[in-house]
Amino acid sequence: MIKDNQLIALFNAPTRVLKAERLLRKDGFSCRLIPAPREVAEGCALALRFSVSDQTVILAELARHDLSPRRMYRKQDGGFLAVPVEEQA
Amino acid sequence: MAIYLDNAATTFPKPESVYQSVDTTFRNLGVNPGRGSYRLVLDAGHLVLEVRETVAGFFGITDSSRVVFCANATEAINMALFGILKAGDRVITTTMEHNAVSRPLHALTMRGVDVNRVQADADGRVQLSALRETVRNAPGPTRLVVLSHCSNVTGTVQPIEEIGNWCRREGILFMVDAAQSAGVLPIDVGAMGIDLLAAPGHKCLLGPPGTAILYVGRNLQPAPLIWGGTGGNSMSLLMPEELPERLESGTLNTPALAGLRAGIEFVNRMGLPKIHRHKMALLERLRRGLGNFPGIRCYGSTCAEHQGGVLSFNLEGRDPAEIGFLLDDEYGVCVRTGLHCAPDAHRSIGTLPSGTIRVSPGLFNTEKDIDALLAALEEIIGS
Repeated sequence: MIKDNQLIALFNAPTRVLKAERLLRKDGFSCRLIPAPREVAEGCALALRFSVSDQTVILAELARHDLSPRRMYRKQDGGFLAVPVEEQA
Repeated sequence: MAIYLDNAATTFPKPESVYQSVDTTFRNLGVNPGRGSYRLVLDAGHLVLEVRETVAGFFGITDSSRVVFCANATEAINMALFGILKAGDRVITTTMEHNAVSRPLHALTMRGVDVNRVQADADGRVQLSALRETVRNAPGPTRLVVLSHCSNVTGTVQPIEEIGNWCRREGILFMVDAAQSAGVLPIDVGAMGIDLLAAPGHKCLLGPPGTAILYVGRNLQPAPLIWGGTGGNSMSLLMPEELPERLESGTLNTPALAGLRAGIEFVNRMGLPKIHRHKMALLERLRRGLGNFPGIRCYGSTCAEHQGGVLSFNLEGRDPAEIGFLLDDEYGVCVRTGLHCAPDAHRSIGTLPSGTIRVSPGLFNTEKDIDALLAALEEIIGS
């Protein structure tokens, strides 16, 4: 579901994650909504998956629309490494 | 075929596109948005988001997350009033309100909320000067002003832009019940200083029953009226802080919301001025026709600018309920008689306890329908 060169972003509300995905797709970014893995989210949540190579532009675009994610993770060595959202945006 | 002139209760029929949207969505996307992550669910979620954005655009709402979907305007009003008001708060309302506002406010007085009413004038219009005086004469600060944009009894339109902007300057929250105006009169929450807006989807927005919206202003965080699943943060026993999820527990009515979007798109295509003109022309034709009958009394303003899509009248010496029965039974004309769930408004215009005969044409009524009503009334009066 998630590869080593991919990031997942978690938002604080389902409506926000849907808005974020639609915005990015409209802008031509490659991204996909997936169920958030249990290692990073308790209970049911959606995560937005995208490539590390798009990280800077995607975060800037989301921040521009007041849709910054709450948390973000990078798949690494079979685990999930937290990635700071603020500094990247 | 009956002649339906009770569109203030709910609009009927709907545009064909509304029926088609409901049917198509129900058949092809009848899944539960926000519950799960498979593609159909995501598609349904996007559809709901698009409806939310359509509603936001229609009312000048900049952040669509502040649009909460409800089952009806009554639920939306309850959600706002019970979610915002606390013991010790003071609310100013008017003598023209529907029970959807009056009853929750009465219930809130039992919880320590103070409620004051501004008296409407003989046409059912609430003047800003009277509201200002009520606020100033109150023994303490006022937290909220709540009133209907357009009376469901007289069709009288209240000066909400004037009142809303005054409330904003005074630091008073302003809530509008747009049950009779959404889809007929322009509403812009920013320009009109509206902090809370309740509107049904099934009336003049032309959507199906089971749809309504509550707009919640940016700085407000109502307590939920209903607690339950929201599709996220499931491990927490607390409701989410974020809107709309905080106020939207349980499954949404996606097919109906798709229909609501089709209804709003229809309204947008036609344009509010044309819709208002159409209704005013039919009501003016009715008013002129009624003027030829003896013993007729019409209520509300005769000025189109102050009038929504409703005309109430009475026949001297006749019970409105009897007239309504005869219109239905002998002529197949559907009008609403009695108190219209708004006893306060009837008290204001002096029509308690029997109420009035209310006619509310819709977009699909024609002059022929009004003429048929007038012909029926002429026969009833003659008998």
